Amino acid sequence: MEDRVLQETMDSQANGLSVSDENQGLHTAGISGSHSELESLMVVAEKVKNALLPVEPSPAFVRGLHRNLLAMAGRNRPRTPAYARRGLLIGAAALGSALSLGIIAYVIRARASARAETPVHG
Amino acid sequence: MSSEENEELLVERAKTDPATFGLLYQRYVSRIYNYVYYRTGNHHDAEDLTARTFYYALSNIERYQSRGVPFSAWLYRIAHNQVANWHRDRSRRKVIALDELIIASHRRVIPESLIEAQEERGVLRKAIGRLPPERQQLLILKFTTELSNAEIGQVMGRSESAIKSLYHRTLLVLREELASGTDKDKDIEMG
Repeated sequence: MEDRVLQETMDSQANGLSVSDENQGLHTAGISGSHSELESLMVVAEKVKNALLPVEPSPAFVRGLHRNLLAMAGRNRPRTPAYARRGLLIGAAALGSALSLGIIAYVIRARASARAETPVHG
Repeated sequence: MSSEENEELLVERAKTDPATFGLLYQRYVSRIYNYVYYRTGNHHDAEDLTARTFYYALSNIERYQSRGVPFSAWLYRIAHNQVANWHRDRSRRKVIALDELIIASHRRVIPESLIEAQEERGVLRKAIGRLPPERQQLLILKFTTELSNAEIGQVMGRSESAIKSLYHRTLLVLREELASGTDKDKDIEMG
């Protein structure tokens, strides 16, 4: 059997083991003797799954951490969200640019009109 | 609406709403704890690193953008970094004392009649414990989380096909280990 096919089959079995414990023991059923390579690997996978049984954190820890996280969120959370802050920043930059352009235009115009009003001597 | 879309909405809301972050926390705390527990080998450090993982996630959730990486993979990646720092800080490369920790965690629940099966598992646990850290990590992610290969690849910095290949090779090594262990037992009995 090609390695790639073997890998795919093993992978499917592992996914099955991870999703549901109820089907344990059924994954190797129906595999003929000619597939002993696959069968033996499936048996190893099932043993690994059995060795890594889920452990539960203590309820006190889960509750305490939840409380601490909410307290931390309340203290540190900025009042405006990131997208709003970004919007404000972009708006302020645009306004600043427009204002700068306006001032420059005003100065140029003022100078031009001052030059025009200046009497020509001589 | 798919569960992925639903989760994306939750994550977006969690960026501004602490209560929604609390929902995500409740959804993932046990899974992250399991991962960290099997990577560190004790409940005390598992609690510490799980807490650090969620503090970090809360502080940085605004930076999270899906881009094909689910929130769960992002969380596992944070946990993975916390565990890596933990190992570096302590300079102890004994990544998982699986044989010790699993016996300790199940001592109370396994009845006497299952001692033989437990011994068989002990052989496997020792074999897993002898694997390189990366392979141990792969087995833990594969069997204690609901991550896909692509997501495991994102956590471990490898491609999906590399994960499949590594998993296959890991099982081959374990099978060898188990077979040689069995042969040794037979030799002892015969001798």
